[in-house]
Amino acid sequence: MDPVLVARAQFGISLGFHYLFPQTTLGLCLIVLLAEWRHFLGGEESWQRISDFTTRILAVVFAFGIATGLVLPFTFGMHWGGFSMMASSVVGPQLALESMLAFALESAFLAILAFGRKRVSKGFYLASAFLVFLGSHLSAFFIVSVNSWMETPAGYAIQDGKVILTDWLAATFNPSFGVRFLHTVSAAWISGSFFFMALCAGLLLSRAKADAPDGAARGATAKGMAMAATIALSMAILQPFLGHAQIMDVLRHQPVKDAAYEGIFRSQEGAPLIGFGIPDAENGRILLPLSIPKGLSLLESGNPNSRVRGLEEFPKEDWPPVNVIFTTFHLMVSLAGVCVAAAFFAFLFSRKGAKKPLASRRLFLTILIPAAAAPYLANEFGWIGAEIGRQPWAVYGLVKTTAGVTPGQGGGYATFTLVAFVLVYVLLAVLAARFILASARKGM
Amino acid sequence: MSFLAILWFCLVAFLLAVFAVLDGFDLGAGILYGLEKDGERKKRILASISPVWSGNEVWLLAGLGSLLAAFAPAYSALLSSLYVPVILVLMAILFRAFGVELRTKTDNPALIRLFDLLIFIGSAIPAWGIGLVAGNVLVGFPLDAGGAVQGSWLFFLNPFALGTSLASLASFTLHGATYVALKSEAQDRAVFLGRSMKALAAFAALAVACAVASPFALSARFASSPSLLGFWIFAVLGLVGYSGVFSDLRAKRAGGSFMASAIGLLSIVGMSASLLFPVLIPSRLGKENGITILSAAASDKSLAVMLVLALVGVPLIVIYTIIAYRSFRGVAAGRGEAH
Repeated sequence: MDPVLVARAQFGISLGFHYLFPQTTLGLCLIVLLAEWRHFLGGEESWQRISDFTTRILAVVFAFGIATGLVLPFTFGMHWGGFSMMASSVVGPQLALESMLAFALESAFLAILAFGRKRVSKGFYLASAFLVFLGSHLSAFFIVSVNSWMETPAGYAIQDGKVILTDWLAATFNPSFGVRFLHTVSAAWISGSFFFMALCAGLLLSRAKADAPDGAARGATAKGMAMAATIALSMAILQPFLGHAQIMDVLRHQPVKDAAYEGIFRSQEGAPLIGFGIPDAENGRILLPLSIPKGLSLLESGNPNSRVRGLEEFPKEDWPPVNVIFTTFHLMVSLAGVCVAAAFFAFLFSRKGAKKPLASRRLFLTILIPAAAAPYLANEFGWIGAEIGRQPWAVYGLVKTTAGVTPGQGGGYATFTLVAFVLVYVLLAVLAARFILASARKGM
Repeated sequence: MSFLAILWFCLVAFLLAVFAVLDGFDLGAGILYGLEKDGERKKRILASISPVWSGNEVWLLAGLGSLLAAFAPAYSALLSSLYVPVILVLMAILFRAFGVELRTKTDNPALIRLFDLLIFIGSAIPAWGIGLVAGNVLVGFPLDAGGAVQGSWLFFLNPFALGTSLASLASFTLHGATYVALKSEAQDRAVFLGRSMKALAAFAALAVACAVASPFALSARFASSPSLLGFWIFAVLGLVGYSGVFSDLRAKRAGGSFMASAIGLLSIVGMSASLLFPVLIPSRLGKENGITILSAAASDKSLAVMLVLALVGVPLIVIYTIIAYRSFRGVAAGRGEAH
């Protein structure tokens, strides 16, 4: 197989699979922290139930996250030799810092959350919950920073054909970092909350059916649901604004990617906002477009008649694969709509003083379980769009993807291990689902 | 070769040495877990590593991240040339993570057997593979002038590296056995001290074999290393460490034997690093094809910026590690501890 294809498939599949876990972790850490905080303030025992339940799930998700994440830096060495040589002075320190500052913090204090309720004081336990939250978010900080640097490199100089790190702060807080970090974390909180709500929904449904209804556990489950719904709804409302801010960053730094996202082939004044359609990059058009006239011009500049640059202004070899990224981008936006709607009803039905008890809303609870897939799919699509949209570059404007791979790493063993990894990931996904469910079934 | 680059060489060696000492004992404990027949003892072994294994892996990531940051060409050559063993170790580490995390969460006998197997191979393969990688680095890769591997991709199966791989398997098993003994109640402690002694005997035999072979297999290293003094200092320290393990095991002192074994492992990393210096990845096809500190180091400016970051980061992981171990000091209980 072509070494570039093997390298991209290997990295894409590994990272795409890994990404499911940390986004869940980020959201669950927030829930543990908030529940533990309420518990510490003298809140009812139900907060401890929520915290213990979430920690139990978090420990499994975190372990899967570590194991799947460990593969990635190795991949840089095995498949991405060119990229490693060129960009190591930026990527290396961030990865090392991530493990030292973030991962170490998270894993040390998560052990205390999972095993140490009886071993440490209440205050120390709360502090541990905070440090786990901090650790997981610092981890996201460094990884999103590297990812942003690949989109908008900064803080470096070129010496002997190699990137050298000259200004760590500028490289870390590169132009697209701030907004991307907020957008990613907010998205992760939505995923984590939906994941949590789906587990709660499952508990409420099964308890109502067969198990002896335990009033306290059911109360805690409903309470947890209300908290998660509040997080999910507020973040889902915030998300379009953060998404817009990020699109404005893309427009500023990578106009060709933005034109592909929006499916604008010809430069025009008063460009429409295409809500959906089937892209046909070959012929430079969007089939069956469903669009808001002048919408894009209005969004991008505040003026409905402003000029928007189309793909035609850029040489075709600089175009990213338009069909793929137009589609993933629009799927992400549509799925975000599903999240807002589901979070709204979850909030409405679980709030204090709701007309019917949450457990009796069986239809809604049943829908909420598959709805949890929406934020995950939205995040995967958003990520795929951002990465494919950067092509043909691995580091925008600096390293071409084809120059980033290790030459010759396409032999039979590379294809074989690619297949082996996919099989292992499938096995792990089944195990993960099974064990998270088994752990959740024990209830709050 | 700048002072900063030499400092980074030492830092990478230090991080990997700490990794060997910390993850070494949980890998060893995982091997003992797989060999253990008694169900209650199995549970206690697992409980002794459950809270700490993930924190111990941090050091591997920190070490590799530092190698990538400071010596990218060596990182790339190491992982891409040893593709197959590295993949095996990675898969094994994945398996171990799942085994350790999930084993206590099921009552299904078939799954329990599966996780027991995952923990065992997930511990034994890394313990073996780390030695294989280290042995190959010492012998050198068949790198041509362009830095590409010549000949078979199976070059890593050479006798010396196979020897070091078995020695490393034995040394981690010994290290894990002393750790489990330390974390056990009196009755189990005697059992694990006994197993430590067996592992020590196996390790001693393999270490002697490697030592006898090294003047031949590593003649190029001994001929060109400017830091042979360092090598001999670490060699003496290692000898002292493992003699300490022997005398502490005979005196039934678990804590002492664990510490002595840690000194032994640190010395082995120190010996290897001294032998290599100033080369990172030697080439068997001529000295000039090797990847050296000089040829691989990032620019001094990058190294300086990164050193500041490391001076913040490394003390922090030390602090987290200490806090985590203090919270779980004492004898490990059974599975009831996790809620």
